[in-house]
Amino acid sequence: MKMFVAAAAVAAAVAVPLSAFAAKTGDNKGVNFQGTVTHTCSITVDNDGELGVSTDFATLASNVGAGSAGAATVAATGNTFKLYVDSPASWSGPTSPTSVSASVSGDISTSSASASGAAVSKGEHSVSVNMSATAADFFEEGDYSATVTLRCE
Amino acid sequence: MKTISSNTFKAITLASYLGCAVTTALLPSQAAAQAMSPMRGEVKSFTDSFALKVYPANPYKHRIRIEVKVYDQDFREVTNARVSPANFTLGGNSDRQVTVMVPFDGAKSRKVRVCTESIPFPAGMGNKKQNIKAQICGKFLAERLN
Repeated sequence: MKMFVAAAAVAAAVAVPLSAFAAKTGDNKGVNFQGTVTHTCSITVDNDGELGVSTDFATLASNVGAGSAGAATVAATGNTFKLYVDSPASWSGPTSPTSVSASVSGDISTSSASASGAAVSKGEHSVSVNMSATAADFFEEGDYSATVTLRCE
Repeated sequence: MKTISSNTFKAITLASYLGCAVTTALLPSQAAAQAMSPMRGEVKSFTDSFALKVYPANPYKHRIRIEVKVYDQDFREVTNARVSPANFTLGGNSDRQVTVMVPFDGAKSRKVRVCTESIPFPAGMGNKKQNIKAQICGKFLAERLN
């Protein structure tokens, strides 16, 4: 009986088809992977600014008198984005200004006069946001407000 | 700290929506806070309009108000674009899908910006305020195939 079992085992081993070893003789199978990387940009406004008035009352700006700049954080995951700043399109207050401008300084610098914006590199960037408005004569007494737009694209 | 949205686009999928037949796939990606993805993309359509799906996100812990607008390559607002919803509030650390339908207006191709914009809080009374509005714009090129 033991002889029979041994003989059967030997026979079975011999009978293993050669195809079972075929993979070892150069038959390659590729495993494909696919992925997509998309980069993003974000803007966080940390605080708005305050407008101060000049001693001749002809200028309202965040960098005169008691004014203070706004603060924002711009973050990008790649190097393909640009930051633009737009001066206020509307104005709230008793006196309308004759000219308005806005600018960004700090880790990134640009102004509303720049049509090409400023490149945003990968990482986080802290910026200060300033604006200035000039009246033809002077700003009347009252409350004023305006909105500067920070745009990443 | 006062915050204004950082908005997110995520994924243009191609959508057959309201008669827009085909758009090419722009891959969806994971909703990441303080992100906007994708901010570039190409779309193909067999009809006279094309559809985008974007995902504004609120990375903050509190609810904010977001507005989605469509502009052309000269930054003029595309007033006949349909954005649904165009104006909404979004809870903290969340995002939501927004569908944008843009007509070709007879052109063979069209470049648009889809911008998610924060809506600043109203200025306080008695202040001389300089508000800051954050605007995140994705650039998309659409091509009509017929």
